[in-house]
Amino acid sequence: MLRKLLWILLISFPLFAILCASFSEENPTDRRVLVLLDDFAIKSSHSLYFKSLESRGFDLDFKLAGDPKLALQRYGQYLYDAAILFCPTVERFGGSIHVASLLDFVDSGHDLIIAADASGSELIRDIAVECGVDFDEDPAAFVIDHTSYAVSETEGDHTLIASDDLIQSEVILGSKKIEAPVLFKGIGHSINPANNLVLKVLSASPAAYSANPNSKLSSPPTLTGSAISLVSVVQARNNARVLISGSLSMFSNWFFRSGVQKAGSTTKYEKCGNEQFLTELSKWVFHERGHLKAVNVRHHKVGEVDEPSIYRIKDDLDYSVEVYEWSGTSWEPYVADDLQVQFYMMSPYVLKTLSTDHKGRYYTSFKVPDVYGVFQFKVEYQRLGYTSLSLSKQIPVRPFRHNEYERFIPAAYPYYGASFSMVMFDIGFRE
Amino acid sequence: MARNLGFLVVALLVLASSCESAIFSPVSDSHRSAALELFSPVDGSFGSLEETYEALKTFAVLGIEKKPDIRTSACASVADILQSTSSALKDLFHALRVNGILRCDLKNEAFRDQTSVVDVHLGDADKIFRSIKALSQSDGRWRLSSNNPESSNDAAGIALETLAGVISLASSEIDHSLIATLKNDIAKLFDGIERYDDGTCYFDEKLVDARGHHGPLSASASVVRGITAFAAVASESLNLPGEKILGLAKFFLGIGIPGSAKDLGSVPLILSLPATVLSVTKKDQLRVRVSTVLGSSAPPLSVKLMQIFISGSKNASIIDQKLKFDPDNSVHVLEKLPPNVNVGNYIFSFEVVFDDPEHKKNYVTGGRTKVPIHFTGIIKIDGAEIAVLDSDLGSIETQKKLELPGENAVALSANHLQKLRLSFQLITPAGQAFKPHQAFLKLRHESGVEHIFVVGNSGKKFEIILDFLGLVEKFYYLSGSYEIQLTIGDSVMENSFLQPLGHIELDLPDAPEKAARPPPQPIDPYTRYGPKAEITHIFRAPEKRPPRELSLAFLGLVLLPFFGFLAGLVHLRANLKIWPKSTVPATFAGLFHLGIAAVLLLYAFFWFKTPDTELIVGRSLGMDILVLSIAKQEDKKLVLCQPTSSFVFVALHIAEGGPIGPNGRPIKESRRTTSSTALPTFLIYVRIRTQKRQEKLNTRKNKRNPKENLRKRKGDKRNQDLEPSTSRKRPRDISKPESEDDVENSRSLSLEENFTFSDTLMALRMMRAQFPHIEKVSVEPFVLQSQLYSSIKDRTQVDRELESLRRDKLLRMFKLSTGQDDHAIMFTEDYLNQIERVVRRMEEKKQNDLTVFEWFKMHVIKSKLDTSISHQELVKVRKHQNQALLY
Repeated sequence: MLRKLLWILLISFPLFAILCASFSEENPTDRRVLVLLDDFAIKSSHSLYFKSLESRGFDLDFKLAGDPKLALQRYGQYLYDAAILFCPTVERFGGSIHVASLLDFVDSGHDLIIAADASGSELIRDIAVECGVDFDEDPAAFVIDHTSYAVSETEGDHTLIASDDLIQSEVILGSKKIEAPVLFKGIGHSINPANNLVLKVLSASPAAYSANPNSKLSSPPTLTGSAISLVSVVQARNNARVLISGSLSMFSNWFFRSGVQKAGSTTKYEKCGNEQFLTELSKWVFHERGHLKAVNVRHHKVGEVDEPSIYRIKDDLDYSVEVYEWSGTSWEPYVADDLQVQFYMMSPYVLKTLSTDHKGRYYTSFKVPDVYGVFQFKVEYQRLGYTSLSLSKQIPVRPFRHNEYERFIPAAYPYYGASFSMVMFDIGFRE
Repeated sequence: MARNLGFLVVALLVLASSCESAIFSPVSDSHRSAALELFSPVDGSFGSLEETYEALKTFAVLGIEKKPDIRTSACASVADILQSTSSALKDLFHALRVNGILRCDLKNEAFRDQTSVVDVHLGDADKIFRSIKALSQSDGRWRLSSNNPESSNDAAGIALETLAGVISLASSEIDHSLIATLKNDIAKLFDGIERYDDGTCYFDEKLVDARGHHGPLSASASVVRGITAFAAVASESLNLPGEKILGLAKFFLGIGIPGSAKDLGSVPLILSLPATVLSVTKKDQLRVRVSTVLGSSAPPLSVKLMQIFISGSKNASIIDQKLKFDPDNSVHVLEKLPPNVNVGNYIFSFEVVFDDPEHKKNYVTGGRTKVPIHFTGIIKIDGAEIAVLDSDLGSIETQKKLELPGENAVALSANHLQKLRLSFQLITPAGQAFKPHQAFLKLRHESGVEHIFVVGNSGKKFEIILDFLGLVEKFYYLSGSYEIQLTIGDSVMENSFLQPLGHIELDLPDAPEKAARPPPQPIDPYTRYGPKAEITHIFRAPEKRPPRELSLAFLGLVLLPFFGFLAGLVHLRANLKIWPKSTVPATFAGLFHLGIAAVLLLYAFFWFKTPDTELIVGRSLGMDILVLSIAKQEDKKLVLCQPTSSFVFVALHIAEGGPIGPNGRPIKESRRTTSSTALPTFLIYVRIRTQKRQEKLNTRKNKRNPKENLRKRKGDKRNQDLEPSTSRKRPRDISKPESEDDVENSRSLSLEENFTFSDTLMALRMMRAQFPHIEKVSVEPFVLQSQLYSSIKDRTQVDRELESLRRDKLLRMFKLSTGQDDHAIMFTEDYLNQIERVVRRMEEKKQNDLTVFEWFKMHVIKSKLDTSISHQELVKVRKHQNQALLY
């Protein structure tokens, strides 16, 4: 026992740790991904998806979910920057991975892709619940949709859904519109309405419901209509991103390559939207889009260059900040017209939209309010799909000094004159 | 070999198609195009010869004609490898395999050299055969090696393939009895085959060996390859059960590996249906295609529909109907559906009958094939109506007919004592009642709260009655307009729909206090974000002042008497006759008037804002400020202002132009200290405090021995350097006297010869003494932090003292992995001893790399006092050291 303890003590010095961090603004190109699989067959049957990741420079490490040598971190350093869980049936991870360690992984800013499937395991559900997503509790349930299923000559139970209810966000799904519907076959989930970190990316149509297709419905299903989310994403407060899908097969080569015709529509697409949808989504999840950074926060009095240590009330000041977006290879200027700065003490005194020069620089100028105290320049930028920017810089504001007021008030001229003449009278009478 | 096989299997697997459907289709063009896409060469060649082989083999198996043109590049690399004498055997192997498919034109002599390597004959083939055979098990499975008792199907496949190789290489004929037993084994192996309900067979693999788990796919493929190889060399019929061969073929087709089972003795025929979702309304015909696995046509045969099961029930109707063959499309068509087939899900059972009984020997059909078939149709909705009923009597208040599917916009109103009734009938094209899977009535309140009800049926009629009295609580007492939506859908209903029916105005009682609140509705993500409304500060309106002209007018008025007075003086001819004539009074009078003039001048300066004079004027107001201006030059006299220091502070503050709070005290500004003129203020402030403390300290210090005092002063400087910037907001100068005090305490604690021990150190030493000394366990004593906490009352004190002891390098803290805040404390010397011990033990075991311990002791322990050290820090330490060595 003691010997064991001692070894723990000695091991606690990480002498030969391996450098690894989550998406970092310093070296964003260095990305290793752990892929956990139920079966190595998935590596081949989903190879198109993996290939698209590899071609974008990700280093995929395929492991069986039950592998006893699995580890996310060594000597306190994470070995991977992201993880993909394509193991919907695993009941227990091998090695040192468990729910808590995966959540720690996300808590330290790493990304995660989870694919569940019908008859998914408790473990995957648990992870999903921790991410704010509740899968249908019935293990035999499928998402069924009798009005927007994919027309097929061999699939008769309407569990293969063609959904085109995508989130309207260019940053998440790319600027190119996804024309063809996305095929989905699997389990649905719902997201907690109080949780504003989770976004429904692909939702079911209003007529969909989640139930076991082989049994008769006696009570209303728990999940119905567009409340059913098929694919959701989470962006945590630390900008870690998680993708949760209720279907593993939607990532498969088969789905990537199959055509689709939605029930009730006559257009038949040669290729369904899965490949574009999931590839674009993986770009977002792995921070190739929508990751902002703000640099060069500057403020100074109008006409000056140096940043003062204190402002006086009613000073005119200039504020500027540069915002860049990571494009997968380099930091590009971020162009938007809704970046706002607040001059804040307990509540915003000034809230102003910044103008931009379309090269990443945002600037504005305003007058310091006539209230003194310790203020903050605050930029709180939260937009759908973008990482949140939260900048604050403290700056005190002082009132006028006694000698900074007006020297001679015209209204007081009579008093000055009176006292002056008074003194003169005095001298004159004395003499 | 097995690895390659596995690889091939995996590579082929990507052709996956229709995994979850129970209908197996032969290999089609979609598979081929998928294969072409997957094996697309980069720059005219595949990465390695192994990959080239996989690609070529796949193309060959699938019969793809339009291969990407890789022949030249592949052949070149094959020739390269065959010609070089130093190629690895593995490369040779792959090169020969690729050559086997491509048949490159190789220079003859180069090839001849290498063939000698391959041309080996086994002399004692019998012996080898027997030794391999020894691995087989009674159930037909084989072991991987003689010392591994676990058997596996995968191993059986490998063994069979190896044995086939042995037979082919054997110089003499192998004993027939051996081959006979082997055939027996294969038969047994097939007995252990697993099977699905739909006739698919596969070999399962339970053994997980060092190379990882092989799935059923890999195991089945291995067995099939083994048997194929064996059948090829043994030139004997294996008599394998036909339905099992077919099952295997289906298994591979199901996951996309065609062709593997074709050479097992007889050719499996696959019965497939181009479409299994058939519309009754459109009168779709049921077509059946029979072909080999690779899609080539079958010999003349006829297909019979034998049985029809209604899925979900065990009832089967027996029909013996022959399908008509359509030679143009080579499909068998069921011309007329059996009369009892309606809209719904069925399972059809087919049987293949050969026209020529001879074919039975060469082809396997596997008896009856069951295929699930969905018949869809348009369902007619009849008698749909919605009504509001009075509760007790059941009398109808309002009733509206609905047109379904179609546009409806009913407007109803009801209170909590009434009921809502919705009823309709569903009729299939054949005129029978139909029960859909999905029949939901949805009521949706304006606020977004939804309630869903399943519409039940009684016989033909679907009816739901919502008694609002019982539902008030479920509706969260929310009155208002509810949208009504009806969804009817089924997988066999072609006109599934979701229709808004209109809305109902509900008048429900007010919610009691304890009633449950409606659940929160999700916020639309698009509106959640977005720019906020701009805020501009409204400045305080400037004071109202009279117009400038008015002030000037009044100034003129005020000055008018003065000018009058001057005029009067001139008029009266005023003079200075009263001015004293004698020297002394004249001097004093002059001085007096000069004084007044000076004051007036100062006021004038002040008014016209000359900065220096401003201070003089300000300071001449009080005595204290005069003292201060002296103090500014000579620091020593600062003590003088001690009694009135606060006043000085305020005064100077005013002089600085700083704001004064309502209570007369200056408002502190955090940046003030940096301004140069403000520094003296703080100096005064500080000095006064220091003075007081110093006195106190002196009285205390006198009790200690002078030698220690001296040492303390020396230590001071060092400790200050070590001390990291604390979070204290006061400037360094102020905190100095206090920190001096702290340092002094810790110094005295750290010195063992000192008389005053801290409680913490005492406790630590006591616990260390009590640490159990067990003979065989060589662990130096350590103490848990929790132990320390429990034995000393003041935890804050413990923390403080531990921190200072740690900084003095007397102790070392270790994080324990047992809990988040579990720490162990060890004396540094003990820790060093422990390292020594480990080093000694490693030396005994003759392990190298002991320098790292020395290095760690030399450089890390001294400088890094924390419980952990990061990789970067270590690298930095290392770098520093290297630089130090360089210079």
